Amino acid sequence: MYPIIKTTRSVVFFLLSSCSLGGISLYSAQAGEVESQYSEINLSVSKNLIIPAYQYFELQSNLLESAANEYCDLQSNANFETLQGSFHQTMDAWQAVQIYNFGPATLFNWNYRIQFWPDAKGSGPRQLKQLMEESDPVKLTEEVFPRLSVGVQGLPALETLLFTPSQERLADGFPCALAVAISANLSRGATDIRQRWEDGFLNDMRGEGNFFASAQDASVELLKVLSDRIEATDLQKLRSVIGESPDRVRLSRAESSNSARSIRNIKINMSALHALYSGTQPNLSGLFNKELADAIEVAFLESNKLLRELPDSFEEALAVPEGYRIVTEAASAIDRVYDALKVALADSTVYLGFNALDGD
Amino acid sequence: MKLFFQQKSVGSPIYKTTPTRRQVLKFLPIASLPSALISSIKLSYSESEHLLLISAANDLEDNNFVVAMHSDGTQPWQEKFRQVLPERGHHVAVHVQSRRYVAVARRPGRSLLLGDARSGELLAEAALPMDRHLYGHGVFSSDGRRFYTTESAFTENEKDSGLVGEWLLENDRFIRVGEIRTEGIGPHELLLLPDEQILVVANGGMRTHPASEREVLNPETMQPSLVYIDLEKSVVVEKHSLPANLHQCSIRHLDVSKDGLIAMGLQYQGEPFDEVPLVATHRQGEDIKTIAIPEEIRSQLKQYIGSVRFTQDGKYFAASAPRGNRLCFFAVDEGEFITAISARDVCGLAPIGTGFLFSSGIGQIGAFDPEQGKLVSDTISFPLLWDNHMNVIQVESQWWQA
Repeated sequence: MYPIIKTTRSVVFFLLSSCSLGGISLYSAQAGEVESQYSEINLSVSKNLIIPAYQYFELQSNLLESAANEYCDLQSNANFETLQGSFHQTMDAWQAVQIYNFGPATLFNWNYRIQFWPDAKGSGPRQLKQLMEESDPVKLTEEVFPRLSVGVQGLPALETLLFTPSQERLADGFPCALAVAISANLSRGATDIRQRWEDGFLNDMRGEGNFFASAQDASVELLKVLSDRIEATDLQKLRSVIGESPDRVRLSRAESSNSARSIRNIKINMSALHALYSGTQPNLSGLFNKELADAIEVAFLESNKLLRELPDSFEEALAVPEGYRIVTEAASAIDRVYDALKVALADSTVYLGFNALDGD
Repeated sequence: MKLFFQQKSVGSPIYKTTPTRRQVLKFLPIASLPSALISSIKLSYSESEHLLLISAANDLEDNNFVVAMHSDGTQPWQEKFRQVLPERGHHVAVHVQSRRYVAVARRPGRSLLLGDARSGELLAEAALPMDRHLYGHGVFSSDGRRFYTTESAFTENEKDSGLVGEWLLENDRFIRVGEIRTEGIGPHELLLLPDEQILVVANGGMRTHPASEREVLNPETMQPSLVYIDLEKSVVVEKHSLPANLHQCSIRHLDVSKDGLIAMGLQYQGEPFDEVPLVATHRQGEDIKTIAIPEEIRSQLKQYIGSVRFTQDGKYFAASAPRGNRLCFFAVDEGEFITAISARDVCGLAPIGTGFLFSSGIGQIGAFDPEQGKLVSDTISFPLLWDNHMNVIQVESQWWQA
């Protein structure tokens, strides 16, 4: 898939560790044996979790595209509600794969084209406004649209079209055609990413392609996803919105406030991360000392239970008495997942990076 | 201190936390090392010469060091010394004849330390003016009597605050003898051209201030440049920039080939999805030439190149991408990308023979020969986190005794 050379050579190494991997102790494992155990974890996670999640995202994107076309053809209120519902289904599916920010999703900027967020400079709304003012149908063609600003190509722009009260309903003409163009673009992206995972990247995940130096390296990438995305879910999606006190809440920082589903996104993210950690067999939890692995599992169960009890939007969650405290408790529960993971990583043979984290 | 090695394949993580003595015995066994690391590289130096690898590194307890590894070409690397640093280092410059090294603190640090390259022993600390900080890079003059550092006059908030600090090294002491303005902000790597009269400096363009630590204060207005400084006149004699639409491509890391070609590693401060060049070359009197990397690979580099180095013969150069876990290689005559390899957290580069040694933040050292287009040694791991840059020098065996 990639014209690069992989650096793995048949170095015989002795990884002396007391942790077990798929039931086999690494303490006495030889290089080939260890590598094959990592490969099995990656294969299990890819085939049973990641690829099905991308398949589901592709399915929902296709349905969204159909719903957009149907609404634009018929212009009925019922069709509009179907289209809004389809947006939610597609966003649900996306949130479950949004965490896999490596490999096929990063090719051709698909990850940004599907959802450019956070948009700190507000470039998406600005570009969308300009596009609407220009109303140039040529820009919506399959040849031109993928080259427009990422801010108008994906889910945030569609959300604005479908859920912003001030936005005219997708009356016929340009806004409707734009919704169709966005949904078609999402379909193409979903198909491209799913195909690449199935066709070649699965091999990379097993350490047999060129993308990773080894299967172990691919497992490290999955652990990095786990660590980075738990932290980002907590800091970027939750704490940046609620601030440090009730008077410092900034709803404008929420991920999907127009469609009133920013907390729903967090729920799906954390559920997907939990599945990545322990939802397949074998799985990443096998890389850690059993006691520490169990602590992560318990932390996931607790945080996700608290999240499930919250409504889908910050507006609704914070509107009730004690709302701020309850949301803050959920954030602290996510903190505890992250802390438990850090402890387990520190005890393991895994180091996620040094120069990459803080270079110059 | 004797170091026991741990061998792993590229991409393999290393043990991270503070190891107790029992854990050290458990996790860091004496492993049978391949001697292939050095001997299988097509080397241009004689067998009587030794290799000394010097790099800033952190240990597993997050302590900062200058670490030196030694090999006589037939034996595996052995740790020569591990000198504690007061803060995180970045580049360690080495002068072979005087047997000295200088460790330069990274931005916005202020420690500039002179040490003995044979033992690691610290000999002097420079007294940096209070309103200056370092950027992690420095270079010796060829006679070893002078040292140049990139610095910030950080109180000058509205002006081009970049400068080169000029030091005289006398009786193992730093004497500050001058400053030369770089006509830019945030100078980073600097090197001497082969004629020794011209200093080439990468003005990264990013304004920072110690009070706001490493935050970039001018991402929208930054103007990076490559400047050539005439050391006799102490002035910039040439200044080159990328096209205006690439003003957020910070020029950070450099190397100079024997015939004066400059290779540049860029770090883009704009949007993560923008398709911008990440490497470029320059020759005095000409315009900067950017070099395209196939988009399938470029898009994986996370807009960040951490180090660039030419091979000794100048036919190739390498650019490391620690955030993208890739090493990219380029042919100089053709001015084009040739290949890339995958290596987690890779950053340090040093020419050796017809190829390169590379080091990574997960402790690995490997070797790649672009002439052969392949790895030319097994990649081995140490329980150290190698920092961004490394230096490898070749010395005669008596060098240690002198």
